[in-house]
Amino acid sequence: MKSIEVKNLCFEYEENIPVIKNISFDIEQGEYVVILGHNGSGKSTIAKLLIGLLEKKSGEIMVHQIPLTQETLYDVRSHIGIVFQNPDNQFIGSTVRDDIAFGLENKCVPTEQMDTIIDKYAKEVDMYAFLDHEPSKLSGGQKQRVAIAGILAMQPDILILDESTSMLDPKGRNEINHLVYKIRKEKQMTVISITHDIEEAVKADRIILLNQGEIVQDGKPEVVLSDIMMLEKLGLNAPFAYLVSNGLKKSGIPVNAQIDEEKLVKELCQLHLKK
Amino acid sequence: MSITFEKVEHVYSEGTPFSYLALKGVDLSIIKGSMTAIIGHTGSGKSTLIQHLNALLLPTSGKVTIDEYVITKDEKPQTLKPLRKKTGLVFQFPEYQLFEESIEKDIIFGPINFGIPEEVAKQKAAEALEAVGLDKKYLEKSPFDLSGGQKRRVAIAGILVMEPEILVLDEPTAGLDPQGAKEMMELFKKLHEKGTTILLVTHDMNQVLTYCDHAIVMSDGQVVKNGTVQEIFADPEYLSKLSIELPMITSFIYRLNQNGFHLDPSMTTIDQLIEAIGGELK
Amino acid sequence: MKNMTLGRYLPYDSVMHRMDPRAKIMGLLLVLISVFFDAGFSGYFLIALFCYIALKLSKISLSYLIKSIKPMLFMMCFLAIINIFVMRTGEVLFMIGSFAIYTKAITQTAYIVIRLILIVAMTTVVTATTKPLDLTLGIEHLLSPFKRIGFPAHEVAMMISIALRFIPTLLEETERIMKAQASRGVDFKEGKLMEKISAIISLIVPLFISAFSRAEELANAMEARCYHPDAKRTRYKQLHWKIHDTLLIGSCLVLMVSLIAMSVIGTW
Repeated sequence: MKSIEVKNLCFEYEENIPVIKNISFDIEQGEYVVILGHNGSGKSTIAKLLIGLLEKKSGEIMVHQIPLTQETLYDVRSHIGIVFQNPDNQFIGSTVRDDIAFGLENKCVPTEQMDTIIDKYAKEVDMYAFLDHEPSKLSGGQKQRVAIAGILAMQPDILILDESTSMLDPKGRNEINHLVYKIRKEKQMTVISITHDIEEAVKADRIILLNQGEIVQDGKPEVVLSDIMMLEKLGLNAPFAYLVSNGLKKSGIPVNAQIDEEKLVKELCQLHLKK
Repeated sequence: MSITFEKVEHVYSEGTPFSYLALKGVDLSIIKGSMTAIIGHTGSGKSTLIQHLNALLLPTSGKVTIDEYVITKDEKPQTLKPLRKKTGLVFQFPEYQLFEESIEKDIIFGPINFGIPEEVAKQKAAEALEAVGLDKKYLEKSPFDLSGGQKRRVAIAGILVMEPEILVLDEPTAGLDPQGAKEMMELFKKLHEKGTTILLVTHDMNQVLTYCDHAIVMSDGQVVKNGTVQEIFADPEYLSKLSIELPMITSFIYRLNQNGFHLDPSMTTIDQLIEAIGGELK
Repeated sequence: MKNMTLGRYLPYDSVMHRMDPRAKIMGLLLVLISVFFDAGFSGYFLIALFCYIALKLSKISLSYLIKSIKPMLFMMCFLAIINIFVMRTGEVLFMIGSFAIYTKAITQTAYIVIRLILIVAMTTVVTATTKPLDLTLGIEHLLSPFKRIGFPAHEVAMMISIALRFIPTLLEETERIMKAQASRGVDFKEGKLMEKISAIISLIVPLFISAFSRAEELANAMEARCYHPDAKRTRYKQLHWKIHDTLLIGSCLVLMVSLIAMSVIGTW
């Protein structure tokens, strides 16, 4: 089943300054897609368009096979959840508990069921011990975990992460990446991650590479991330493993140019043993 | 020039039930003209440490010496004000401090506060703006018309315009994309080459490897290691206990060395790495 | 900010703490109304007694209450002195130089001071025993009948609770901006008037801008989580009216009626 269908999407913030220029793509249920691009390429704009926070100029968007229009906003939003970049500016409740409850209140979940649901999802993101803590006492990573819990509690089919680790320290980033990995394994959710972090993109099922509002490439990481010249032109780096393996290959070493660091280490060690 | 910390302690909210010892007796010496990284887990005291460098915070005991300035808890604020010009401090997400109607006005805000005549300040503002990679035409624009990355550069220009001898940067590339981060670090590298002493608080070890010559490691309010970047990254196990990751290059070298390679762990660029691995496999 | 006692919640466990916020708010209103009936010193004594009982039931110490009245002391003295010299009803009691002090002036001034003390005392008891969010919830419930005439009770309550949640965040941001501007030579403590104004502008403008962009992001986050103020929503936090709440309202009503009666009779 197609989770997301985008056809000929166009958007502009101001008259005649197009930000999204006629893009089209589909995402299957359960896929892990990274939308990659430099700041200003339009990637966050796409996220907001998919969830109807911005109104498209033209084109079609189907979310979970529902056409996105002003009338279907509420319906669409119950299938898709989004974690934003700033941990503070999406934390609405006065405590972790209240924040997770917020989404449940909006979906008219009966009050009697709320505590069980809140406990369940707090445990899933490892924030059960912090249920009565205020946001000012939490780290960025912890706040983002609560944001994820609040969204999971609404049981969406699609999860969008809009640069949700870019304001975190490495510890927080790892926490969130592990959590998302766990979610992908355990649930059949479609995950769309918007980022400029190449090493994260390496792990995706598919990469949509964006430049100035247009899709430049759409395919598997092995393909998209091996075009060093193009990536540099777009203000991105090629993955570390690819730069090393490609450089070695060019200098005559019989190694595969690849993006996976683990595999590269194995291959190099095997070559070394053979010597 | 010398920058030294002698048994510096700093307690927040002293005398209340919330009092918290953020710096627990720091002894430190920073080399003039170096580009020194300050690394450590969140909460290790980095932010408290750097705020002593321009006397935003005073030690609750011990003393900080920056050239002729001696900072102890008894110093009067007025005597220390010139230090805020000598040491330029750029906080995280500095774009949040912009407030004037025009970029020019915002950049000259600092120098004017230090008594520099307006005409001179405007001249320096144009130079500072160019140094951060923005055209002079931006001077008349409102800072709020710019993108996030551009705003950040304006904010940094606002500190560079004061021509500080010591530049302290708290995660200057946080939130920037790879291109933006690279441009920013190249700017600091240029300043370093011109003689500015630079202190860089960062979580990005790749940045430390590529740009810095020295590093100070902090943990739980104390300086636990201080040396050249090579020395600091020579002990990966110790660093991982402090929740500090290795730069990608260094980590890769260690993994290969664990499997029979003999690569020099002090390499800093990918080209060096490729050559070295190639050499061992031929 | 840290020494502010007026309005601060004290996390004890007492009879008053366990009361429904609606009962406490309505009760407070009844007592405040009672304070303004002229039943003489005996009337005020009755209300003071009522306050004392409420205090005991809330496990708040008398010294805490006195501390929260202290900030008003200066103002009260000031008011008192002005009032004594200005009022000219009743007979002349004595003379200070060429100023006549009248009997009524003294009693009326005493009334004003006593009223102020009682108002602050009762309000302190309520705010010290009720979490700000519970107060907001209570206010929302009490105002919701007015939704029918278009009063946005829910939106107001939502605004208050979000504002409360962001107070620590905004305080932190204020400190950060102050430090950033201090690093550019701004002196927030010393300086002439013009410099002080410039200092404040360099603090307020960034704060406002940041607050607006925060508000926009927050609104997006709320909408993305299916929030709509007009739509039907269930509530996580529930208020449960119990017998002790009825008793509280009942006793406040009795107090008010007694005060009315006493003022009609004209007790002293």
